[in-house]
Amino acid sequence: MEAIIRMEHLYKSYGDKQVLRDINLEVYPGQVIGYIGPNGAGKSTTVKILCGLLSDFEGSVVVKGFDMKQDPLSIKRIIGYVPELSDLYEVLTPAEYLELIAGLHELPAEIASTRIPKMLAAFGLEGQIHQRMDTFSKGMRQKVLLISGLLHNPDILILDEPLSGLDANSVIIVKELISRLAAEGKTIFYCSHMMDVVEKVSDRIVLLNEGTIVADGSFESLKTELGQGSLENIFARLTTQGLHHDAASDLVSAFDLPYISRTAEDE
Amino acid sequence: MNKISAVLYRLALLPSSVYERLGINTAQLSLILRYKLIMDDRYPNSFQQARSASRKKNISNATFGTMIMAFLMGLIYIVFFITGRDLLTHLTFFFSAYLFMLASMLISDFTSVLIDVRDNQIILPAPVNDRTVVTAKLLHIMVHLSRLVIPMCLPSLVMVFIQYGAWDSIAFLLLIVLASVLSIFLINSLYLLVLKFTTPSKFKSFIAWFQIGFAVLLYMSYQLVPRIADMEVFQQFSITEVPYAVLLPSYWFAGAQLFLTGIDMLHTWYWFLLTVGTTVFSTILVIRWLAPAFNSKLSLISGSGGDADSGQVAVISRRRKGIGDWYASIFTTAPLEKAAFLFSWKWTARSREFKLRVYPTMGYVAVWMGLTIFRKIGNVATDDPSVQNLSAFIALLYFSAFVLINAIFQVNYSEQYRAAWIFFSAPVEKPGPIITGSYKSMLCKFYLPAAIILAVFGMAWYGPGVIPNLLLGLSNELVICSLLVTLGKKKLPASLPSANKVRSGAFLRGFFILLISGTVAGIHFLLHRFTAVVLLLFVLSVIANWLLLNQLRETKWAEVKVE
Repeated sequence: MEAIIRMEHLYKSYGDKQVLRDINLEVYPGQVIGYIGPNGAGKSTTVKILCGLLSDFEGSVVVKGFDMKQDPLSIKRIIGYVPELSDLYEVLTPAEYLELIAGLHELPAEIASTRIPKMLAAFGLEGQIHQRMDTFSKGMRQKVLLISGLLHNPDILILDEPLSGLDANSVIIVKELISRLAAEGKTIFYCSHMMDVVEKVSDRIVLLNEGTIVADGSFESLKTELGQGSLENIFARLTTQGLHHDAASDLVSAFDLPYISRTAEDE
Repeated sequence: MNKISAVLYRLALLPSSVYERLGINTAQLSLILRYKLIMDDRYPNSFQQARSASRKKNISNATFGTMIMAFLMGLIYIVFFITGRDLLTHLTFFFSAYLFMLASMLISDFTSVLIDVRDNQIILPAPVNDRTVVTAKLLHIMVHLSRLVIPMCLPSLVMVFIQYGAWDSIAFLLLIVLASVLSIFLINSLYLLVLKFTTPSKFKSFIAWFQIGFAVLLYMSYQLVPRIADMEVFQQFSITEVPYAVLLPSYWFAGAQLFLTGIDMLHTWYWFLLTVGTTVFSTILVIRWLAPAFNSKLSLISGSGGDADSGQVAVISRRRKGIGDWYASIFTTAPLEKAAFLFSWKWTARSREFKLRVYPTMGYVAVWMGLTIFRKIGNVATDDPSVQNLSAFIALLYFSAFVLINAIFQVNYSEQYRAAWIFFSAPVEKPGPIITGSYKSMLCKFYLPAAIILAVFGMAWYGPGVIPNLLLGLSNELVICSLLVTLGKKKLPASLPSANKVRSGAFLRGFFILLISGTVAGIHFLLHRFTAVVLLLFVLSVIANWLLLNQLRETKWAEVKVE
């Protein structure tokens, strides 16, 4: 089978800081990739490159036969992106915001106008369709963002912490959605810090540390390769190099340092 | 912090013991102020994108530009020292102009600083008392304002020094400081007072309407004063002939200056007392009585994490076809352009930020229009309609662009500029249609209504003969605006940070663009009797518009300014 996403020798740096070092990754249609790594490992940078938001990278990124450097537009058409921070225009209503997204994707108006209310209703937002989003909770905004990523029926869905702020029921819906979309042959690129969820939803886990891929395989194969335990333990073993367990005690012992507060001074 | 800020920072903290007596924690105060000033320098400069190390310590060009503009404005004030018969009149005029300018800048540029809700998550959870927070905010405003006020007052100060000597100029300086403090505290005390008695959601709309109302009021008084008589009579005019002038704060300041310089002290001491008294009173009013409860109310204004006043949920009524949709279907073709049109249309209708920055200018233009029409009607008996004196009308044509200029500038700035990622992740080949869509929506909103009013008024008054000049004026207005959008980096709607930068120059900037349109208006006026020339220029102007709009539509991603 032909890979739908192929990254080869991907490098990216911000000034002197090398963020990605030689990323090589092939993703196949229908796969759910759990893309994990510690803070600052380069996850978001990879995602931004994949969405065409960062263009000054080295190496090659080919998505469904389109080269990112040559034809980013064709790639943007088949990718749906749900960003991590819920940045959206709050003064709009969900319907208006999604109409804007539809317009940007040049979706025909009649398709947009039937799809938008249906999708909002599926997330239980039918009552808020014409309400401004400035009163929305984080979870409600997240739902709108999820819909904005799905609206144009993309082949590849890139989710960056998609469950943040969602209530338990919505988490179930999203997890269900991910497996349904994967069954339909859609590819899902799932970035998260929530190991238990990644463990459950993804059929392939890619672990990134300091800009390089340090583990790649199904959860089962990672377990046999790296020893029993949860994904959390595997993650910790590969990314902390033993610094990890001391952190908590270091934090607590910091209180013992000479500590002069304003009130102590006054007294 | 740049050098200018550092000096002003130290000056602002000089009366520490006074602050302490008012219940302010001076250590926290200086800390908050210092960090606010540091942050002002760090945020991406809207004029230079480069975040290079080179501008770490330098004062940005933008700051200098603003200061020079303020200085030029200050030169105009010298005129007040030669109008009228006596010193009291000179000074009253000067202080009126000064207070007007200061109040306008405070209202249009600095309100967002006072009610900046970004502090909520950082300062409010910390043990900082309300007075300290409010004072820090006001000092922050003062530091920024000083950068404008100092160059603005410099010419007049030099003038007083040359004409009246050292002591007079010191007294004058003191009164300028008092006047600045007074206007800052008075305007803010009004805000705080209202905030104390209303819900935050009402406060939001109050501010918008107060700003418009106040701007209109100030502007009207400004417009009316010089029209009391014509210039020759004006030279002989004395403010003492107008009994109600004693109600003007600027009159008090003028009187106080006389007292301080030893003129007629028996009859001027109360003016001095009044100025000092009101200034001290407004300061105490704000810090003692109004500052507490300010923060708790402020935290309710915040939009983040569920509005506390969620009892009032904004439901947008879903009319099948709003006027925006109607315009969009007429003036846009591509779906992308239409989407951008509707986005800017709705966004500008609802964003408090945008309204705060644009609506006051609408007030100015409305007053100018009103006054021009009013004067025309007033002169009905004396005017000979066969003599077509179009100067007032042409001035009006060009001045009405003020709102549009402001709108097309402000539509690109938003607190939620990060949400603009959608424009970059969408499969948009060229951002041109987004920019033209947004521009067209601003035209429909702020240009069309004005154009219609002007056309109706012009035709009603001057008859169909005015049509060539009307068309040329309206078209030129568009060319000026299109040039502003086309030249330099192109901007996507709501894609650049605003609240994080105290754009103290915004008001003055608009004023100077207005001078450019004024020049064009002047040339137009010189030519307005030659109908053939006017028509020819109109055709050229339309072609220019067409070319500019086409060029804008072809905008590439590389030309777009990113935050």
